[in-house]
Amino acid sequence: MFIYEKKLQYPVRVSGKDVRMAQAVLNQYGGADGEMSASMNYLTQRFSMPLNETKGLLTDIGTEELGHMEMVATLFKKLIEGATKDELIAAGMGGYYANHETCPFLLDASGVPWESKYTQAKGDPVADLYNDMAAEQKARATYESLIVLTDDPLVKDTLRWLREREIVHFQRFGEGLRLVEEYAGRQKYF
Amino acid sequence: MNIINIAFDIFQYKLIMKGMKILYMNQTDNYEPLVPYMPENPVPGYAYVPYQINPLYFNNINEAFVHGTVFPELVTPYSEFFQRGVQS
Amino acid sequence: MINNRYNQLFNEESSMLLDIQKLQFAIYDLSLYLDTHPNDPVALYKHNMLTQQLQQLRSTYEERFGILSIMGNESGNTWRYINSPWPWER
Repeated sequence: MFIYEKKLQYPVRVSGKDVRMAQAVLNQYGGADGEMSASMNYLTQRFSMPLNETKGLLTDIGTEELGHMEMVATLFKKLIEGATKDELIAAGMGGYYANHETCPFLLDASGVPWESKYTQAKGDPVADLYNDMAAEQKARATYESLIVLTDDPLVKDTLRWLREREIVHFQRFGEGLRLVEEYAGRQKYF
Repeated sequence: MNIINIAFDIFQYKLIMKGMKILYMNQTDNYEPLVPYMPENPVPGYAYVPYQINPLYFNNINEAFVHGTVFPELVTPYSEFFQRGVQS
Repeated sequence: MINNRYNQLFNEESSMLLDIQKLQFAIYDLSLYLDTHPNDPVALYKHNMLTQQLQQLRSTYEERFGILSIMGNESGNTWRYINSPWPWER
């Protein structure tokens, strides 16, 4: 079951508008390696995990990624809120504005809509955990690129925090993998 | 203060500390990690991530919040090895 | 003068919410650790300490400023859950 808590996991602040950065940040919302893909990935894969430890892990990390989705959407909204017509058109967001005004929508930075092809649920626990570890690495790399793209120290702070969470998730999935491979006492070799 | 009183206080203090140590050790003595830090017999064709055992914690909640984790050893363990195309 | 009082109340509310955010974050990270280390006694002890602190802080906050989730106990005489500011407006 899912209940909403009326707060963000970490405060999101910006120094001012930056429509180009908003477009880049949208990648982490509705993109292939974004938080939406991550949370849907984990919340669907948990149904065919053999160990209680991994079931709990995937549920908790999936829920946390939903919270991160909220943070990224807030960041987008704060970066694009109050932009003038010229700023929007200069950043290439004129079409986005016509369609969605300043509301975050599940697209990536190039306007490609989100699809479930970005998620995977192979059903095999080892393959799924490797996939999740890769997803965390991709998200981390995207956050590093986003940190490079902005000059605003407040935005950098939020992105750096989100990147650190991806590193921690990678470690947890690695441990989950160790448990599935060794603790479950499997005798098969893949 | 009488020297005997002081000596007795120190004796009581040491007894209490020893008792607490025994209590504490009993709690953590039975901790058997589910898997070792790295596997004893690593096999090719597998990837292994180290399993945290008795890690350090940030004592201060504020520091943990700012860094992004409660474990100092997980704070950006990546080195500056890879060159990025665009320097910030 | 009324503005100052309002600002002061808002700042108090923000700082209390920030404390709740910090505690909840520590508990969340510790829960992820406990998912893969279910028998670690130090982590369990820390989790218990933090959740007790959180319960106290939460009940104080929810009594004064309104509930944080719909499962909370609303002690005011209006449904303060929907009040501004929402998390993305702070």
